Amino acid sequence: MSRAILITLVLTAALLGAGCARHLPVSDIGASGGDVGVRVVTITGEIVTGQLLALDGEQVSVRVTRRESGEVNDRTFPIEDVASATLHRRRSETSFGPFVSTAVGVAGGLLLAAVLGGAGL
Amino acid sequence: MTRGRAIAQVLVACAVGSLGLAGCASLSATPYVPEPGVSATIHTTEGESFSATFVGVEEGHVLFDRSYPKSELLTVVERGGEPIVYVGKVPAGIAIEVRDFDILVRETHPFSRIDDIEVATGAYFGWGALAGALLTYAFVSLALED
Repeated sequence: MSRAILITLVLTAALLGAGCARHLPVSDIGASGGDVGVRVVTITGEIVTGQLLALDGEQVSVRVTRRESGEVNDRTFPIEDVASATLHRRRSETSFGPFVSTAVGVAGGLLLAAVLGGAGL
Repeated sequence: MTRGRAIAQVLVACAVGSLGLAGCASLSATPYVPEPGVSATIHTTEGESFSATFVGVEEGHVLFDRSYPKSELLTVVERGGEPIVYVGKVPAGIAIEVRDFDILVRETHPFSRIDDIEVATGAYFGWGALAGALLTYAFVSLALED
């Protein structure tokens, strides 16, 4: 039974590790596997939205995906050509975060009850 | 109450919650929220590190919102129609929101002052999951006692 408790603890730790926030450098966030949205407004007035690939003191790189065709295009803007660039969280993090948190919590509790109940604790 | 019935009640509650949330999410057109700002840790070239909401970049400067706990050192002064927050005699930024215990300040810094910015991504759960697990365990345990 101690093995079952150990497996429960390892599984819980793995789940928590998978769903907890990863802290990634914004200068290379695309290569690090992070997904943050960006809306770039250039000094000429062009507006580009997409996934942020990199942001530093020299340039902003954006992955633009056309919704109609699914075509992917990476664009890089020198920082002096950028009037503003705002960063945005993934919608799934804000909408599904509470649900995933609840579901994982409940699953963990049920697992704990099953294991400890079976152990007679 | 039997163990099976207690577990079934918990599962039904989860299913109802997930259906509601899935319905809300499917209405969205873009994968990103319209409000700017991601949680970040800012590292400055002076060796300071702090948590803030990284808003973005404007005219070559980094913008972030930082929370300052209210204290005697903190003052808000109206300058040119904008509420400027001073920490001691040093201007920190513009007050975005004055709350009960802290003031949210929009700070603007040149890139040359920033050593590194780490943004938090993929934050689907945290301590709430642990609390949920303990509550569920307590519920099932109490239900089984009855």
